[in-house]
Amino acid sequence: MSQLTIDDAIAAFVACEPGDEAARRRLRERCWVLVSNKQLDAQARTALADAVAVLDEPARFKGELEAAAMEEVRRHLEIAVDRVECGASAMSEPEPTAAPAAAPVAAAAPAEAPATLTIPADADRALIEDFLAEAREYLETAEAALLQLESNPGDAEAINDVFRAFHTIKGTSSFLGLEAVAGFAHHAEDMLDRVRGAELAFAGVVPDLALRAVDVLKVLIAAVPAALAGGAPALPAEYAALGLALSNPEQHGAAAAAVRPEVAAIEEAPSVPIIGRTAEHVVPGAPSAGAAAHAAPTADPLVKVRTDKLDRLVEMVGELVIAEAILMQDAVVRDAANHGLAQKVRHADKIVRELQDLSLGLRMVPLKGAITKLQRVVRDLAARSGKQIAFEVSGEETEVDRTLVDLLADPLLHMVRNAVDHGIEPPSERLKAGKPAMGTVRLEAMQAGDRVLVKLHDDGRGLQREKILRKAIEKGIIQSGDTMSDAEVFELIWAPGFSTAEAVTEVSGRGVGMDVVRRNLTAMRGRTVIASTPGQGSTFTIELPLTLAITDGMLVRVGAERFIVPTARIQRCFRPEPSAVHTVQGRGEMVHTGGEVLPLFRLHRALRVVGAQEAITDGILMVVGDGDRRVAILVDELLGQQQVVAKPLGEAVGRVRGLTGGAILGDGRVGLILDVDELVEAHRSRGTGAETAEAAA
Amino acid sequence: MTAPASPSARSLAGKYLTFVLAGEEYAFEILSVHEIIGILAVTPVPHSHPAIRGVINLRGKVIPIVDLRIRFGMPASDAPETSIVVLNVKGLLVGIAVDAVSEVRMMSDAEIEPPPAFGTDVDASCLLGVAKGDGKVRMLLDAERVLSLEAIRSAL
Repeated sequence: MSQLTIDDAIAAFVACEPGDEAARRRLRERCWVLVSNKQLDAQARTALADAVAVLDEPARFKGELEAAAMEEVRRHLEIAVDRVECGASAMSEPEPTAAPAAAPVAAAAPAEAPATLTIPADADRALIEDFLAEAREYLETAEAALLQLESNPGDAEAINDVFRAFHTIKGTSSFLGLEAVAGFAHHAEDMLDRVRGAELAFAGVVPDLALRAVDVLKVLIAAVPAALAGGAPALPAEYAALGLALSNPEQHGAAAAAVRPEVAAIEEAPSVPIIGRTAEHVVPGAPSAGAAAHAAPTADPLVKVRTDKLDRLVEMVGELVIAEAILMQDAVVRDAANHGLAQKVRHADKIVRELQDLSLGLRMVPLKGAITKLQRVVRDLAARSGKQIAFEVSGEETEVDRTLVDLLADPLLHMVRNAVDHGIEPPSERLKAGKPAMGTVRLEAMQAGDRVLVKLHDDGRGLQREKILRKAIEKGIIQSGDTMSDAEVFELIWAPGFSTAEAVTEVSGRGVGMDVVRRNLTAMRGRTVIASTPGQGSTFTIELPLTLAITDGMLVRVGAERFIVPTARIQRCFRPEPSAVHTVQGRGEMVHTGGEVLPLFRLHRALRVVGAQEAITDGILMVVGDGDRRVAILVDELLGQQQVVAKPLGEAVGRVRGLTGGAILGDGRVGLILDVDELVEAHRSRGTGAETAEAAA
Repeated sequence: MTAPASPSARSLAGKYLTFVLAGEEYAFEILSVHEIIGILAVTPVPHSHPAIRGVINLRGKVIPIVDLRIRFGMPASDAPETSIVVLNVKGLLVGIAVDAVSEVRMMSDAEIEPPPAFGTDVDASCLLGVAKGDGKVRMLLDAERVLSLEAIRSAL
């Protein structure tokens, strides 16, 4: 690539005819490229930046004003040319643009450094992508710390931050086979290590070198995706020279001509970016003088936003959706006479829906983050227990609410651990059972309606009923398991005290028991289902809502009160025949429906609402729950479906069993959202005896 | 009991919002008052504490309403409540239904006396002091104590 010289800028200037906007743009572009050429004399660059600033004000080039403006540009260019020439003669270098000190360095560089960024063929793409995100964060931290150090050079914590960034990037990139990144980070780390050890003062050229190292690493990191896609992006121009400078800053400082101007550029810098910013046509994210212009085109397209702000935004959009729904239902809008108004409201409705989709999408992240780490866990655990296990993953791109990804990490770890430790048999045992020696653990994630399913399947021996029962009795969780169904026995592994926290700590470093994991999942409206076939393996399923922000709810009336039942939990609703209800001795009221018998659950009793329907034929029954935990819930009336934003009831109210929160209803009042499963559970644990006693009272 | 001593250590003079509850005048420091709204329909929360009357919608936020009568163990009354005083206690918003909001009044140190140990309906630990002036007695409430969850639970 031939490099632009100041002569090119002069040529472009000469080519500028009055009124020729395109030519002016070309001139501006060339000046701008030169401004970012760090090999140029600092004052020359400042002068060029001044020229750019003038060129960036279109108002100054209108009609007769143009001549004066061009004259000013010319003056700046003249200064630049003078500076370049005198700098060149001082260095006794004939070529003004040849980097004075960088040239010999560059000549020495190729021996040590690669010329392009390459990625080994067997690289783990997922891990590299994770690394990229991590590296960007580290670099940002490092940059912030460096800037802080400029005002407070003694800040040991900040120096540590910078060191840690370089150190981590070096370690991880080396592990991932990104030699070009690792090599460079290594030099930077070395220098910071010396600063840390008080061997090198954080002064003179050092802060600048460190900042430039951050810039180069940013460029390298930004180039990795291109390399992943099969390309071989060139390394940044500064790569080799800066690497050498970092590994030997003193010597570099001695060759002052190369580095001092850079420092000067930083110190004088305010004039450059400030002018740049007042002109609105400057490259977006105009680099600070310390950050070379090459950082601008590759600037990170991500914006960091505080999660609470994001959550608030999503919440407010949720409110907007509801407010808008209320508006849509307003009699004035629905009145056929107001055709024009209805049309406008419908238009607004479309926009609101789109906004809703967008805002919900903001919080959605792929499950990948939670899943990738498991690969390593399976590998390590398998190696330790002498098992052969293939770990298959599908659907890792499934997106869920951000908070749910964090929440999934622990349960997944438990499940994987359980599958590897207890599920998959040792190779000899597998061969004896006629299975391949290599066991398979398969993790599948998928979206099903407004829920996300994560299934972990292993082809091992399956859950052993007897073993679980023995352990549960041993731990005093149950007395005897004779009457328990398989499903009930499997549920025991979630019981408090069944899995010990120590077992978890070993892998995750966090002592969280299965019961806590389960509780966390339930709090987020998640569920777990275990299926197992002896000798063939077991499947653990975690089911989670796609998003926590908005719930589709059925508004029901009980007496004078209204409640919201999440629609996803309702299987069907029906008005019962009087003959369908029976009282079964010891089991309370039961309802016959569609060939099955379900327990009857009177919502108003559980919620202590007065004035509700007692006669079930006057009310509606809703079938909720799953499997053998299904019940028919009696409510007075179904008022219709509504999307609601679930909100906490607040600390003062505390956690009330059977309620997940409140939501603003169409009339502005608060409706309570029912957690049907928990309600039924609470009702069951209180016992049907109490229910009948209450009924008799 | 040393608790009442600590509030008296600082000057209690300042602006207070006064209101009527069961025929008595009470006041909260104006700084702890977030806003005053007209009475709204309250949604009762089953199985919650008796002193929690329920929750309301404050412009999209769900906030609890504390029943001061029950909190202080006063008898129920027929006097219609007209307003809700929303208090901000350590960043948490809590509403209190009151019979009527009276005024914002400047109270001077001279007017304020330490809370009497007995003789009031109100648990003395919830009182900052008693202000006398204008021919009236106003009880200055400590919003934090009144709405502290532990205190509510132990009061009943």
